[in-house]
This record gives sequence, C-alpha cells and structure tokens, in this order.
Amino acid sequence: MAKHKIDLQCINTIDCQQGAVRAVRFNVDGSYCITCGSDKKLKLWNPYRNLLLKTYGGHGNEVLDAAASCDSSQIVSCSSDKSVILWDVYTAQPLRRLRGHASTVTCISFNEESTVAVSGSLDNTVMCWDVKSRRNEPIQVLNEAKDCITSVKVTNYEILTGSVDCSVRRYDLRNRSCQVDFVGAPVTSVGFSHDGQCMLVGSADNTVRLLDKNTGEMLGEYTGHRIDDMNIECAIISSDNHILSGSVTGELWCWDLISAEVQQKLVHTLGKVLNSLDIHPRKDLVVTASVNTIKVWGTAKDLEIKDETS
Amino acid sequence: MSDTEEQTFYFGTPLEPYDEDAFPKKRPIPLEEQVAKDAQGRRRFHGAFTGGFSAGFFNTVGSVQGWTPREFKSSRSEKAESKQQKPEDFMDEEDLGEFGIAPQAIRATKDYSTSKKRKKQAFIDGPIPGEPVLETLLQAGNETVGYFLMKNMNRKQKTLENLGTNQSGLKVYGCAMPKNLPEDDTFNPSQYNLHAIYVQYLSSAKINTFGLGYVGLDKTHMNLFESTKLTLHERNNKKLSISGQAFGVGAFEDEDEDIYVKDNMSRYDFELTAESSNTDKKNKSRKKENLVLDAFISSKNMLLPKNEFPPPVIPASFTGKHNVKKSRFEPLPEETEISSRKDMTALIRNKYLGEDRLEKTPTPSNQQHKQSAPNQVNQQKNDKNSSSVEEEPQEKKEEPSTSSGLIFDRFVSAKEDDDPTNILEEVKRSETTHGTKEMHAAVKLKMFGPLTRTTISWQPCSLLCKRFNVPEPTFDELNTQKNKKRTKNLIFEYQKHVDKDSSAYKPGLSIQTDTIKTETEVMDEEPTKPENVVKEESATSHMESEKLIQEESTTSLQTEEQKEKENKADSSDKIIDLTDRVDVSKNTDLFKAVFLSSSESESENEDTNDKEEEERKEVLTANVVSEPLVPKIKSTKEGILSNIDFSKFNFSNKTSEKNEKQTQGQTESVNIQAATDSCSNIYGPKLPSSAASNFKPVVVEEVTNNDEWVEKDLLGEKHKKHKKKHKKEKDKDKPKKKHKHKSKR
Repeated sequence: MAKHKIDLQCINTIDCQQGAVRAVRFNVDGSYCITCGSDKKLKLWNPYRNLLLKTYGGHGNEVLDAAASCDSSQIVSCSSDKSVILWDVYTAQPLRRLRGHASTVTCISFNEESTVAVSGSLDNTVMCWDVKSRRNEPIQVLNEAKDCITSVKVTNYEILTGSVDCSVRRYDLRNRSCQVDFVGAPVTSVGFSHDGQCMLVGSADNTVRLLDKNTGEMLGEYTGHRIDDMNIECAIISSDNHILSGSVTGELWCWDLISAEVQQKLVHTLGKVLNSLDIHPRKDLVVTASVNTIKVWGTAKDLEIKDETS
Repeated sequence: MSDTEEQTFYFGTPLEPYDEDAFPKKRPIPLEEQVAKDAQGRRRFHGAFTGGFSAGFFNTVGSVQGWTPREFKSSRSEKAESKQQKPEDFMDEEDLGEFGIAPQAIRATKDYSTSKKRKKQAFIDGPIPGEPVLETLLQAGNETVGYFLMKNMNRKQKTLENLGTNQSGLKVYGCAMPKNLPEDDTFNPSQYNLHAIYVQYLSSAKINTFGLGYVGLDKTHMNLFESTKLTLHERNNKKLSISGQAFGVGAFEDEDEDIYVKDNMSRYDFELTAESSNTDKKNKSRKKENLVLDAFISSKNMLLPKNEFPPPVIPASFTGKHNVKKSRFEPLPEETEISSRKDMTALIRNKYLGEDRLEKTPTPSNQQHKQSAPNQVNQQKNDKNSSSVEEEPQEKKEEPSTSSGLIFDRFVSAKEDDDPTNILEEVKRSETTHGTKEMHAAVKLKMFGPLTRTTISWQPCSLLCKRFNVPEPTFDELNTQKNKKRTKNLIFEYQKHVDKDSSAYKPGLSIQTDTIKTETEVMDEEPTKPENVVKEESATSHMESEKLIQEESTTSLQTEEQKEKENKADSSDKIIDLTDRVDVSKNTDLFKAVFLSSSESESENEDTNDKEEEERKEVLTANVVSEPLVPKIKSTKEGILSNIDFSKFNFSNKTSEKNEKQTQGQTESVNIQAATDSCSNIYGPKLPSSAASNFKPVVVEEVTNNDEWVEKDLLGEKHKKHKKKHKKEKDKDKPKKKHKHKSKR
C-alpha cells in the first residue's frame, strides 16, 4: 500500500480581532467557518477570502464552541456563561437561549439532521437539547461521566463524549448501550473517522490514539506533540489518511494514519498554543486557531483554487 | 392570600419584567449623552428636574458669540431715541412660550376685566343712556374660578356697597367669604362634602402662591413645631433647617405619574461625609415620624441589644454519646458494634435516637442481616481487591443513584472521616484518580480493548430516538433491557460470575453451604413429585440446574480458602475509587431525611424487604447460578452481530425456567404453565405459601386483587422479590426497579 503524501501549506491567515479564538468550525460544506472568541462573540467568515460575514453577540462570557446546522440556517454555540444559544445565521439574532447546565458549557455539536444539539459541560453532564421545539429543558441528560466533559461528537446514531475522567463514552442509540473506553489520561478531544469505524481520542498524556469503535482496541498511537493539560483538539483528515493535532508549541502535527510517522509539522504561531482545528468535510483542508488568528491549510491544489476565487 | 397582597408596599420604581429569551436591544444611554434638548433640538440648560431654561445658542444668548450688543446710532438727521430696556430683551423665545417664564398669550387687560366692570356700575355718560349694549354682549373670561364657583352655588352677586365695606384692610387670598354675608338659608354647607384632603386647607388660609399641597423650600431657623426635614450647619455654625418640598420630575423621566407624591428634602444627600451621631439620632426620630407604612407601629418597648456569645469549645474527648456507668470505677463501656455511619440502617438509627417508630421487633432474620451487613461489605471489598485483570471491567461498573433525585448522583464517598469536634476544620482537597489499577495497568501495556472497555446499558428517551430517526424502544424491549445485562465476549466471564455470586452476598459460609445443601435436597426431591403435567423444557431446565448445583457446591467449598486469601489481600492494601458514587441505596433513609422533606416510610419498607430478600437469595441461589451460563452461547467473534444481545433470544426459556423453580413445591397444572408461557413478559412470582393451595394463575391475581390492599402489597413484594433475583447479575438496576415498582403500586 502506497504511502499517502500530504503537503499542507498555509492558504490564508485571518486575524479575527475577537480576543483569543477558542474554537474554529467549518460549516456543513466547508465554505464558511465560525470562530468563537473570548470577547463573547461569534464570527462567521469566508476563510478563503478574508471576509467577515456576520458577528453574533449575546453571550455573557467567552464562547467556547459552536456548530452550524446542516442547512446552514442556524448556529448553536456554548459559552462560559453556562448557556447554549441558538442563532439565526441570517439575522444574527439569538433564537433561543438554553440554560440548564450548572457550569461552563465546553463543547457542543449538532446531530446529523440538526434537530438535536448535544452539549457537554464542566458539570459532568451531557445534555441533549431539542432544537425543533420550544422546550427549554433538555430532552435527556447523560450523567454517566464522573468528571468534566471536554468534547462531544454526534453522528446519526451515536453520541461520543470525552471526559476528564479519562474515559471516552460512546452512547449508541440503536443498541441502547453506552460503551466506556478507559484511556488512562484526561481526554481532551474525541472524533470519529470519516468511515465511522474508528474513534480518535486525544488525551492529556501527549498522545492521540485511534481506537476501534466496536472492540475498543487501539489501532494507532500518535505522539510527539505536547498537550500539557491544555484542551487541544485533534482530527482525522477527510481522506482518512492522516491524523492532525494541535500542540502547545503552536504547531500543527500531521501523522500518517497507518505508519504513525510524523509527516509534517506546520507552525501556526510559534510558542502559542494551537488549541482548535477543524477539518473540511470533503477536501483535505484544515482550519486552525491559535491565540487571535486562524489559518487555513491546504494542499497546493487548493491554493490554486483559492487564487482563482480571489 | 389577597389580604397579604394588599398589605404589600412597594418602594422605588419597579424594574420592567425581565424576559429570559429577550436580549437587551438597546444599550442604556451613557451619562454623557443624556442631554436635555428643547423643541428646536438645541441643548437646554436644566437642573436635574422640570423647569429649566434654554440660554440661547448653545447656552449663550442669541448667537455663538453671546449677546449681540445693541447698536447705538445717533446722527443729526436721526436722533437716537432713548430706549428703555425691557426684560424681554434678555429672554428667549422659549421663555415667552406657553411654558416659559413670561408666557405671551392674549388675555383681557385689567380694563376689560369683568370684576372691574362690576365696580363700574355707575354708567359713564354717553349719548345713549343706560347700560352700554356692547358691554352686555361682550364679557371677558377672566373671572376668577372662585367667582364662578360662587355664582354656580347661587351666590348672589355682591353689590358695590358690599364690596366697598369689605375692603377693611385685611388682605385675603383665594375665595374668602365676605364678612357681612347675609346668612342664606338656601346654602347648607353640609350638603357639600369636601374631600378630606382639602379640609386642612380650608381651615387654614392659604398664604402662598404654590399649588395646593405643595410646600416650597423654606429656609428658616429651627422650627420647633415641625419635624426637621433637613438640617444644615452654616459656616458660622448656625443651624439651618430646610423644610419643604423640592423639585419636580427629572428631565429624563418619561412619566411623571407621581407628581402628587410629597417629596422631601431629607431624601437627598447633601454631604458626602459620614453622618454624625447627632444627625443620626435625628434621622432616626425623623424616620419614626415619617413611616409611610400605616400598618407598622413603632413599638414602645425598645428591644435590648443582643449580646452574641461564641459557641462553647467542645472538648476533644466528647463523643456525643452518654455512657451510663454503674459506679465511678467501672471502666468505660466499649464502643458498640456499629463502627461507621455507613453501616447504619434505619432501625439502628432509630434505636439510637430513641424513636421506636417501627412497631415490628427485629426478627431473627433481621438480626442476622444486621450482623451480616458488615460482612457483606467486607466481602465486596475483598472481591474488589482480589479481582484479577480479567475481572476488573466488571468491577468498574458504577452503581447508579437510587430514586429519581438527580442530586444523588453527585455524592462521592469522603476520603477522610470528618472530625466532629472541629467543625470549622478545612476540608482538604481530594485528588481523584479515575479508573482502577487494572485499567491503568492495561493502558500502560497498551492493551486497549476488553480490558479498558465497559458497557453500560443506556436508555435513550423516546424523543431523542425520534429526533435521531432511530426506532423507539417498545415496552417489551425496555423490560428485557433492564433485566438483561450486557456481558462481554470473554470466555472467563461466566466463571467470574459463579465465583462472585457464590462468595459475595452470603452472610456466612457455613450458612451458605447449608442452604445449598438443603436446596439441593429440595431440588432432588422435586423430580419425584408428580411431573407428568410439566412441560419438557422445564424438565431440561431442571437437569441444567442440577448440574449447576453440583458445580456450585464444589465452588462453595473453594470459596472458604478463597475468602481467606482475599482477607489477606484486603488487609494489605485498599484502594477506594473515589469517583465511585456513593451507594445511596444503603443509606437511602438518611439521604432522604437530609435531602427530601417527605418522610416516606419507603426506606423502612425497603429495609425489611432487604432482609426478606436476603432469605430469598439463599433460596434462589441455584436459579441465579444458572444465569451466567447464558454468555456461553455468545459468539466470541467481533463483527456485525457483536453488539446484539443474544441472551434476549434465550429469554423466554429462562423465564419459564424461573417460574418453574419458584413455584416448586406446588402441584402445577398445565393451565398455569400455559398462562405464564403465553405472557412471557410477566414473570410469575412465587406464590405465598398460604396461597399454595390456591391455583389461581398469577396474572389473574394481579388483575382481580386490585381493591384489596393487603393482597396488593403482597403482590408488590412478590414483584420486588422476583426482580431482585437479578440483583447479582445487574446490581445497578436495582434502584430503578424499586422506583418502578413504586409507581406500579
């Protein structure tokens, strides 16, 4: 099997001017991205053209995570003010404010049809919010975790949560089971591979692990970067050939999925923590956030596309 | 309720109701942008309150430069006229407007005032004798209100003479009555009911030009008769008291609803310094007088100032227990067998508190349970410690909270015992380590997979399923889900169950073996009983269970040695998983007493049930032991079928098997068997011995006995017992079941 080469280059850099960027997220087709700022605001960007499209203000504290709905009409965001806000993308008005968590809400995700928002909080709970109705209480509270929730991912029938109690929990709605995988260190980031068969788990012991979803066995281990108790995200690139992770040192690490060799180390801002990254849903594009800037990384091919558009 | 509402008084302006969903659309106007403007949009000088004035162009008069000096021009041809300066020269348009200080409006001059006309009764000479016609037609509307009032009250217009005599020097404002008014019979003052608030103004003549009820600022020296609203000290230390009402509505206040509210100078601060004790006293007295609330009366007896004493220091030797000694020299009685609070049950606690609320005296079985309780705990601990690497994921299973209360989730066991003598001692931060030793070891060895994986059954709520487009669980599924435990695909899995089930939860080893022996005896006897009616499957199940019992007896012999080993291991090191939630079920009553107000007797019921359950467990050992066989059927392969619970398919078999065993000792008819088989989701609980002769099928009983309380309870207990049979298999579901059961009742 031939090794897949990847050559990521910085396509664009944007200074978001909203304090520290806590999270950066692509929308459903990867043409826009949302940044969550420590200035209590969300910003919607066209990251390829340096274009600020909209600013969403209404949170009472730092915005920590956001997710865009599948029809790109709504954004859901969570904040240190313990609330989850559902935004109308076009009018930039908050549609609903969901208060239920007892502490900072750290992560949020939409389900496939964007009917349920799943939020994880420092109060050890994961709450499922019905976005379609006007109910202000969560549909269900998942309180199996024994420590703070750091990361939440939702597929069409599963909810994957990572917690500081060193465990990854996969709630399967079809099987009605919750599989708890112990990782050994506080989990900072979780994710699914794009084929849906593997779970990527970044943990505070400076390791990213690829676990088989069904058995919980470890398929790969990726090390070298530093996490140092920071909440640093990792992800698998859309072609499922490479693993990406941020680092305290400000680099974007890129490993080969199979050989676990370091392919690239891309410097975002040297010495500043690269805390958030998101993968383009189709292309091999990555957007990373460090301090107050975001960067879009892509292959040379993407660079050409970008030139055309601009 | 309504009375209390009426009695409520509000102070200050209430905030607008806060809408949770609404977001503040406008920012409040910052102070520097709060500028009063006049009709032309020019900035207007103003005090903090109504009135105010504009001073021309940007607070200058007339122009940017201010006053334009009047030109003085005088030439030979045009001599300058000497000009008189009028006040209007220094006024703005606004001042001349309707609300200005010199309103310009057309009004009748003094010459045309009708009052004057009244005086001019003597007609002036003219060509036409008599009253001028024009004057009768035209009437200036500047009669005083009082005049009209009097007129409307049929007062006769006074003649000139009368008025003339009236001018006796004393000047009276308003509408004072002429002194020599003839007593008119038609006027009866009693028929005019004046409002109470005007009475005081009628009694005392008005001597100022303010509106009714308004008391302007009055700077006088000490007023002895009125309360001092505000006192100031002048520079020469002369005391100055200001009384009266000040100001109107602020320029930025939209509504002036409360213009009739009496304002008071004392409400305003004039000094930034702390009030002196002298003024303090005065303030106090003033406050007393100015109490707005009629509902409160200041008490005549002053309350004595409270002396606060610190709580006494509790000596370290104080334990809170009083030990009665017969003589002084008797040694202190030893601590009672209850060592820790955790082992307390409601019964024991009642005993200590002297509340013998339970009428039931503890039965032998209860006592046995009490003694066995610590044993059990120990044994469980032993299990935890001795559990090998293979076993550990099972052990990790956390026990969920009891009843519905979410708060019970949040308790973890304390790391250190708290010192009752020193309550104020700081609680040290406890470091939590998640996961068990074995898990950590597995992670170190990178042996991820079954060692690090735990599977909990989890029930998504129906709405969540709907939203995720996942089929909703039906009721049947729910039931089976709860009774089934997902087991892992380990070959040794079931062996572990056997070990645990035989060793744990047993009060004592000797008793256990005994019971098993008796059990086997019973089981042996059973086939001899008339069995021609019993179905095939039940027969096979018997065979199976017999095998198991043999196994069991061998394992039980082993357990003694095992236990000793475990005890050793126990003493060597104990690791308590701090993150494990407190098993609230043990102390439900305590938790309830602390966190729930309702004093249900539920806990007591549970307690007694627990004891009965204990007995039941012994009886049902054989049944339970058969359970771990189930995973054998499971494939060890991973794949599509890996998550499917095979045991579900085996379920109907097992239930009938259980039914068989529970109803052993009874002669069974085919009918009953058929009834229980037909509805496999309803378990046939063991019929009480008294009802043994009664051949009623269980299902029927459930329906018919609805109106009889005693029977229903019994039935409920049966359900509980039955469900608890699964306890060993799935401890975590226990509280849920209890809860469920409650609702069923």
